[in-house]
Amino acid sequence: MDAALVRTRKRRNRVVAVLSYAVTALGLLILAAILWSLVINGVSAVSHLTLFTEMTPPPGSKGGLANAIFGSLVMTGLGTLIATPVGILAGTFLVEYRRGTAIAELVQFVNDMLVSAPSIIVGLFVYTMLVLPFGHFSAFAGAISLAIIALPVIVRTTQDMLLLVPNGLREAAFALGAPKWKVITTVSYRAAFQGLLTGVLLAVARISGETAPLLFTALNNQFWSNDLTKPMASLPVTIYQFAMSPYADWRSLAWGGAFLITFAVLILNIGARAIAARSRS
Amino acid sequence: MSMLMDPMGEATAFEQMPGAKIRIKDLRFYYKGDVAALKGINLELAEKRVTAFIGPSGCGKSTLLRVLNRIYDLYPGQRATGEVLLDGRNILEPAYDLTELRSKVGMVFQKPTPFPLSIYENIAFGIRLYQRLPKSEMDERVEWALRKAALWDEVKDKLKQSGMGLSGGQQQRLCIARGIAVKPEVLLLDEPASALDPISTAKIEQLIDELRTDYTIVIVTHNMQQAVRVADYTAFMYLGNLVEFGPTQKLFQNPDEQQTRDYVTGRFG
Repeated sequence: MDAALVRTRKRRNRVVAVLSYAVTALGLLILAAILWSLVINGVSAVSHLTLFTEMTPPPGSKGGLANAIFGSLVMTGLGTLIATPVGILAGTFLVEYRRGTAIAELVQFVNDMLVSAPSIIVGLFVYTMLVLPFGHFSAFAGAISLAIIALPVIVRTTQDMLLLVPNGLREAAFALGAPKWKVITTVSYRAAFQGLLTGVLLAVARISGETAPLLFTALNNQFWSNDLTKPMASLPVTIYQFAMSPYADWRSLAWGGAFLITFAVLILNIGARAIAARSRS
Repeated sequence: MSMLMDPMGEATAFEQMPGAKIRIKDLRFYYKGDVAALKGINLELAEKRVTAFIGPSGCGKSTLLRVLNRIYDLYPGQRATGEVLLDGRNILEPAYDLTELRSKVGMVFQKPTPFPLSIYENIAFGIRLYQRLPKSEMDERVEWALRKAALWDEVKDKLKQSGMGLSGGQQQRLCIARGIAVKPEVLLLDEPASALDPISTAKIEQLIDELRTDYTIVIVTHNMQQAVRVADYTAFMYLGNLVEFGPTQKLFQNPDEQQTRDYVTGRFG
């Protein structure tokens, strides 16, 4: 082969390799910087146990994030509980029942639009549907808006993961005489389990940091509340409120909240990987 | 073997073909529209014998196999016309119960398809579709199937482990065991050894040889030597037609059709 041609190829190869490494390094650097500043600024707040036991304080006094942590857990949990079965069933419908049909294409198109819909629109939508008619903000409306944001993510990943299940596996189950529901629940879901779990956790990670939809629905609450029909505090909204404030105590709590959300999501992901790894062996 | 030899080793007479388990009459198959992938197949598959389908890629041999348990039903648009009589009943009738059909006609695919379940559960999966057995009987049945598929000794200590962890050859025998466990009458094998190494292939062929006394076996194969080794009868297909069918020895040594002769001697294909 032409020596000059070989040299050109090698040079191009090197340029592309260097570029990919550089971009990867940049991405990792930004991530590391975020985590680092969270640790530096958040760890002092998190190291006080009062963060988990005391309510969000009025300006100038000591306090914690107990009500916001609880609120976040409740609304994220409820939102996930609502979105998971609906999302997995919708993804199942698209792949197992209507693959390649016009209706599947249409649903997928709409779903993809929902994935990228601004969350503030979702918040306003739920505000008009579930807040205005009742005349007050509620944790339930917050959970619903989070569910609406989680739903398309779960539909999409369910769809992608089920499409990865080799068709031969389904055929083998059908060839044994298994009915469709049995093939889906025992074979498809099992084969895609790790991916389905990842999809749900991705959705949890996504909604646990959402602020805008909660501002319009659950609002906030300075006090402990476990009433789903009343306004409820949450970590993102509290961070939003506290981080911009002129009070050092509040800002410190905001850092603590950011630290909690980020590392909770991290632990969630690591845990999911561990579960998936165990289920495979 | 299915023929008698005279002292010179020459084939003199072939066994009278035993009763047919499956009778195929004027079978046409369409993947979509009206372009036929099978163009009027007439064929009888002998009970408790091994029949091989051979022919070049795209000749319709796998398509024909996939009609025999109606697995093509999964795909809207695919259709078959004509008759496929299993013990005298036409399985192409819409009223024919697919679960019943597939309990009688098992299938093993080209690529091993262990379910993402334990070895034990892979076998039990099929059985549970038809029967509710107490634990001890289920254990027995699983062992029976694994022994029948010559896999028991290799897996008896790790029944709880995933079937995906086995080697390719073991996975394929697991799939055969899974198929046998529901006690079918017919076994369809779609190039069962083409993804396997020679040693695993030999084991699968040995297994087919042992199963031939109990099951009607239909095997699709690319490998003509394999057809010679395992099959009592062979059907040679080309472009959706059945060119020639007969006892394997005759088809390979003294075929009636020039096309068959060319194919089995490697002159085309």
